[in-house]
Amino acid sequence: MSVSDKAYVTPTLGRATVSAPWIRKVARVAGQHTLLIAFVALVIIGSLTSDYFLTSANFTNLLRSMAVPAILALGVSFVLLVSRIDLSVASQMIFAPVVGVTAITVFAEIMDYSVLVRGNSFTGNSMALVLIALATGAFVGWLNGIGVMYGRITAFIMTLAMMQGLRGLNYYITGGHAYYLQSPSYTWMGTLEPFGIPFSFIVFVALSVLATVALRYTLVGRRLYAIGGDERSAALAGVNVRYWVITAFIICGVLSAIAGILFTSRLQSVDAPLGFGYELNAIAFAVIGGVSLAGGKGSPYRVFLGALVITTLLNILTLWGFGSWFQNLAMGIVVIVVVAIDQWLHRRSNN
Amino acid sequence: MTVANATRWFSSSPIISLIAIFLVLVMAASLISPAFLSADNLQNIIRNMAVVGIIAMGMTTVLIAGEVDLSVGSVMAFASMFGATLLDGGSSWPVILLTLGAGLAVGLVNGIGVAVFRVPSLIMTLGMLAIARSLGNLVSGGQSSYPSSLEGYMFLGRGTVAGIPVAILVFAGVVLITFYMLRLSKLGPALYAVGANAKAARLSGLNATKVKLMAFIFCGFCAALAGIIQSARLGQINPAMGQGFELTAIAVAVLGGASLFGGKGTVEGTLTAALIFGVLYNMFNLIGISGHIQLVFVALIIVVMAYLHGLRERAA
Repeated sequence: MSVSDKAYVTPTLGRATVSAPWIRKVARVAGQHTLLIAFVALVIIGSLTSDYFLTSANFTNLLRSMAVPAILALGVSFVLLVSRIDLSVASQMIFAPVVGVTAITVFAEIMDYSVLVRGNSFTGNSMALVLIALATGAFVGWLNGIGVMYGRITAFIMTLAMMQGLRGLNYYITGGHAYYLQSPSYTWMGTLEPFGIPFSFIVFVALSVLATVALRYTLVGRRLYAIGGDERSAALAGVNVRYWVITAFIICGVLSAIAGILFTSRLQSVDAPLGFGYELNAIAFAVIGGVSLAGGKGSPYRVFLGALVITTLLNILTLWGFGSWFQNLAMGIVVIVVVAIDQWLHRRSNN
Repeated sequence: MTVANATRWFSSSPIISLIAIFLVLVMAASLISPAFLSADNLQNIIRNMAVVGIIAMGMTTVLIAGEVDLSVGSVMAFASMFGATLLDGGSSWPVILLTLGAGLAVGLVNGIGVAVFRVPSLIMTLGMLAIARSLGNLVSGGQSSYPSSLEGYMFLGRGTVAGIPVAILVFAGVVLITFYMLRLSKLGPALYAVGANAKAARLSGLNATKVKLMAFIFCGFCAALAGIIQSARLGQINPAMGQGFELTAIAVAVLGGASLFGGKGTVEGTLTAALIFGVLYNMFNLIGISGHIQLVFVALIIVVMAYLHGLRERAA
């Protein structure tokens, strides 16, 4: 009906019309493990079509390109769990470090020393930068949550407005030029690669494990799934829906900030136009992994699977020589097709 | 006047309050800057407003039908770039027709995805935003094209007819078409019905699929048309154009009374809102507020309007 139309995206196969029971069984198993099958298929295609695919360098590349959008997707998945969406994650990703750099610079000027060398090379305290960025992420998430729960503004509009508002602020605060973040105490996060595994990927896995534990074994998880499953019932049962939805947004904000820190650490700079379009990646990873747009279904593992499959696809495209324009094209098409197929299957299984 | 009273006054007769806001803004602007009322400046306002206004008309139609189209900015760029492939031919009409055709085609795809395959319009048009932008880049190789040699094309953006900018005449045409569609044709009531309650509309015999298809096709057409006017104004077909336009279009439509939940919105509301935005942007430029802060301002307007609409929905 409206923009907030609830649509299940969990991969399911409808009732097969073929009579043979073994076909139905294969279809069911395939349906439950579509992503793994897709991943294996991609790996096979990749290794057959490119000599470079199975090298350790490519492996490292793949993990590194997966990590930052996957962390964003993890954040978005928390919000999706409670039937909302957060389109502002990409802008938040840049906004958090921007605020960190600016706050420290301004503070330094007040205290009468400078942290900017050669005009825009930042040499301030990296720990402070990280902490301020995290706090900013939490704050923006809180604002999103307040707008949605107290202002009763549809999440997509609130976060769409936040996305553009933050983008404008990013440009305004940075004055349109980049700040270089080259001090080793910050850039190590982008260069550390134990055993060829990028630090950012390690962070993603750690966050995923943390999130899985939290969602499965603690109150946070029970409340979020309850709200996502049936918000009215949860409210009637005494769940403080406002509190938990706002919490979901705050978690998303903090994760976006973490993604931003890792991102800018790798690039050794923070610049307003960066990260443009990452919200599509984030939503794509989550949705294709099977996190439901309607809420109540999904897990960090699903985000991981979705991220893995899409990133491998994009990796293969890169190896085949297709640039970022083709990759964005592919991602847009994949998201639409996957959601469409799932909608169709879901409708058929309901008839 | 308390906030509650002001809200009630606004909700009860939105069009009158919008016109009031517009007049207040015009007065404020002319007081702030003497340059405001100059002929040049007014022409500028009108030309700027035409582009956003045309897209807003398309967006209003989609919003009334209960959906949203986030791809309008990218469609502007894609359609223009696609049309630009015929620039070497040297004549305007093929370029213009191809551009409009591309917009119609994208609108059709959006409509099919949403109405036939039931992909939520948020996802469909978000994906299309990426697809259209990428296709635009691929078609153009990321390079701008320059249509300055095509007189007909440039006329649409820079020409005047009896002193009135052509851009405004095109916008007026779109306004009339939208008015006809919403008020005088059978499609109008169908759009409102589908937007308010698609299931009930279907049960009453309305073809919700066709209705939504029409809405998206019209929106794509508007995006392409706006792309032409913008490119002609700037003398440049830039693959990066239109970024962020979807937000402004939604803001104008929502300010004009369209609801994000569907079933509400009017031509006159969107028109007045477009005028307000035009004056507002101009005022900002005259005062010297940077374009980036203007974006923040648009975001704030949307949040406030969404909040007020929410109040009105719940009070009703």
